[in-house]
Amino acid sequence: MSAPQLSAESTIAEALEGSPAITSVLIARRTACIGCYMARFCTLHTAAAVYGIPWDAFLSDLTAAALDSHSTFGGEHV
Amino acid sequence: VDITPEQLRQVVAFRSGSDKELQQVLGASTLRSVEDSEYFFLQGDPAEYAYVLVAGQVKLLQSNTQGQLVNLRTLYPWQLFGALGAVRAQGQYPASAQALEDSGALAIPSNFLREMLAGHPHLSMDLMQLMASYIQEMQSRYMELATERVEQRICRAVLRLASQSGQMVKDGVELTLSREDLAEMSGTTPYTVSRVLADWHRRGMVEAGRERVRILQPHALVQLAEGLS
Repeated sequence: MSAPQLSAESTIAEALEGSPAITSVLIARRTACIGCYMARFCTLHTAAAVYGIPWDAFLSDLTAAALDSHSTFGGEHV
Repeated sequence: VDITPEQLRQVVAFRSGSDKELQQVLGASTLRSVEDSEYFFLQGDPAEYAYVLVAGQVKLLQSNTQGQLVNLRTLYPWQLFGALGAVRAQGQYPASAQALEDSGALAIPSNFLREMLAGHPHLSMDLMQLMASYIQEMQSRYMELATERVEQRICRAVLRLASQSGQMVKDGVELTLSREDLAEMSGTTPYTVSRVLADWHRRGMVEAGRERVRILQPHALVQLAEGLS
């Protein structure tokens, strides 16, 4: 099973639900997205913009973290 | 009353009651139903009954002499409320209990409960546990009120509401609320809420209309609520 696709329009809540492994990226990038009241409304692209993170690098980190966990755990969240 | 001692043991103040003791409580009590928005009791009424909520939801509201309301807590089934009369004869309820939906509660006569507690120290200890946890909660509420700026409290209330009931719209997140609701939730006056919302409006963070707020810059509000700005 492949990791759910992450895109600019994915909300933080959707992205975290589909790929919990991106938590580490959100923390490492010093965002306050984990547990944020607005996670249901804010997109990954908006988060990158408000925290001043270059979008391409952000997406590639997120995707790598998501894919990594999916290959390690055979697509199962543990 | 169609409640078993087993069920009643879910109430913190009754958790070490024996079947016999709890049967006595049930035998002395009656079940009261209150419709949505109606009251189990009003602030200042003689505290003749202690209540155990059995169904529905109830909020405890306290008002000051100017009529400004503060929401003290929301109660869920198997929580005890209005128990002041159990420890103080001729006591008066310090707050009003309003049903947030059609609700039912077991009404236990305060006199009966007071006598019961006197003869059963383990039940007194359970009640003290409950009171100790209320005091701790009030202390942390007080800390929040004393140390957080009012703007921060209002902001937190707006965000809490948005996360629970906000709707995504074209240029932001919209929620329906009145200034009175917000004032009640953040321990301030509707006047202060209006002043703060007008300021946020001017700074482009929200668009504040009548009975609704559109959040235009969610991140700015999050920073404000978390004290990051």
